Amino acid sequence: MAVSSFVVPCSSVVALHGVTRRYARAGLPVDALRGVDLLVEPGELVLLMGPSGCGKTTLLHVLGGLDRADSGTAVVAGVDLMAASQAQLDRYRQRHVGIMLQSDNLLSTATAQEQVALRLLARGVGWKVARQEASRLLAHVGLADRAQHRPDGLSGGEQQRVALARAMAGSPQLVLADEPTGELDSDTTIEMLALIQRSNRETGCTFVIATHDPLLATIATRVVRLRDGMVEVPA
Amino acid sequence: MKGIAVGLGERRLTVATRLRLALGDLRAQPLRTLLAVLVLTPLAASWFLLATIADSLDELGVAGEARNLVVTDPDVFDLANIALGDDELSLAAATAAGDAESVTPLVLRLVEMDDRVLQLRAADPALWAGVHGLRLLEGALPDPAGDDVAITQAVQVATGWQLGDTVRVFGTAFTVTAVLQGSGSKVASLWLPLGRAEALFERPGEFQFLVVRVRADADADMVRARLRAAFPERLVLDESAIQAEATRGVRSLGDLALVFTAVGIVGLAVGSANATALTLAERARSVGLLRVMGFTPRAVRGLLTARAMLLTGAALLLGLAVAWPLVAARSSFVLRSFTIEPALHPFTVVAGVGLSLCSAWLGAVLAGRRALRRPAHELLEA
Repeated sequence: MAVSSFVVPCSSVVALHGVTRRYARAGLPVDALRGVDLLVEPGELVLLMGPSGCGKTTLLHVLGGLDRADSGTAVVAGVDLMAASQAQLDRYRQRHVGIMLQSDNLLSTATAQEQVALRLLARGVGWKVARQEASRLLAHVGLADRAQHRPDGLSGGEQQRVALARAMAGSPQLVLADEPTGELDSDTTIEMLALIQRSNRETGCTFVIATHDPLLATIATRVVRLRDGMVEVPA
Repeated sequence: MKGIAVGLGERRLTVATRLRLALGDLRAQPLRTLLAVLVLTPLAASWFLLATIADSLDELGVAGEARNLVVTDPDVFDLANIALGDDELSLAAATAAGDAESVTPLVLRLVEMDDRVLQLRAADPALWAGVHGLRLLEGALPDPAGDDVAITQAVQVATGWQLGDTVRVFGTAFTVTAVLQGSGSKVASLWLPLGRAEALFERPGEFQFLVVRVRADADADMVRARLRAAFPERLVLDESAIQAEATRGVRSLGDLALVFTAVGIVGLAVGSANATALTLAERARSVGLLRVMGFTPRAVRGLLTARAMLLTGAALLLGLAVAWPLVAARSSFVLRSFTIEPALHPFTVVAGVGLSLCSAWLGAVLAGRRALRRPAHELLEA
């Protein structure tokens, strides 16, 4: 679909239309996304749910500027991701979007404070300010006393909280999270949900979360279901 | 969670920040870092040792006296049959005329002692310093009337002779009374007063070399040309040319050492590139995470190069720490008839360290190129 035929609503943080992505896996083509349409308004907390292989992670990668769609229109935080150069995508990730991955979110050799500070350093913040801000964010997620610990000294829940603090560093417009509670026990999951909800409400930051976990639906403002690379339209 | 919504420009990571982050990364894996440094250290140590040898050998042959013009027989290897005398001395003095400070004879023989072939030189002791560049280090100059001999420091190092020792020269026992420092072709030689040598060889008034000391303000080339015209059957050379010729073979070893030094530096670059490549292979996901955080390929490359340069810097320091005592342990060593004093010039160190770090930088850049071309999502899946 031609870009000119797609009008991006000004208020939307995420505006996808007809997004497709095909991979070659083991020599065979896999249609991960088959024309996804999605609008997300500022401050929403949207869940992407669906069975494994339905395209959730691929969609998050496209939204995060980590991967490019083959066709369609993808405008996020006012950035046309289809037309953006690699350098523009780098800047987009620095300024507009924070990303929590499914697992192994953290650099094995960096302390919690450094993990968060790195994101700020990437966008040009000085070392001292970055560390101060990292400490503040870690305190916000309840990890002030774990700032100097490396990932191998943190529990799974603590690691995810560091990842959340890192994603929130620099006050992005959008946070993308892939299975943020996928490897947590139920108590830790509840703590994590509360933290995400509080972050969403206090900052007005938009969250798009891919998950299998029905518990997350309790904090979502909207649930979008994906099936076979397409958004499922409610019956 | 109110945060900083900084509208930052295109500021890049400072060198200090890159180094700080790279240092943090290395410190987080002390054993691996130590191993990486230890792999590079022998290369760095050999680099320093080879550079020392190259520097030392490079100094051979440059200490000759360009102002000393030597007239001798073309067959300089048959010293015993070279017989210059008063006629040649007079002719040389007349030819050099006002351009010469002095025109003096020099007796030169080769003497085999303790399985070594040494030069025995003889000249008026009053000329030893001014014409022949000898400096008294220890003892007293030989008494022309006694059986005294002086040796250069290089001979002392090679033979172990000390002041007061008795050495036999052409069947006569001489006492070592002085240790001299000689340069150029005279670096390893025994010295006798001229009269004593004439008596020893029973050939008064006969000598092998005629030394014309050219005035500082005179044109040595012009004087040499006149001497060549005056002595068409003789060899007329300046001492620096003789020395350069004599040391050409040994100096070529220095050139070889220099080549190996360069190989050592390339080795450091390859080692550094290898360390970076291994890191990237094992930690591709970490690179992907940095890209997720917004690090540009250039910024990631900056971290990788900082890391490689820190590793190489540590290896260079450790290599220097290993090599230095080895160099310092021997003030000199003997290579055939040449005494070589190990020397490592600050310029060589600075240039070599700079080159090594540049090589490490280049190695890391090359190793990182391929990995950083991969899309971020592929790096995350690695």
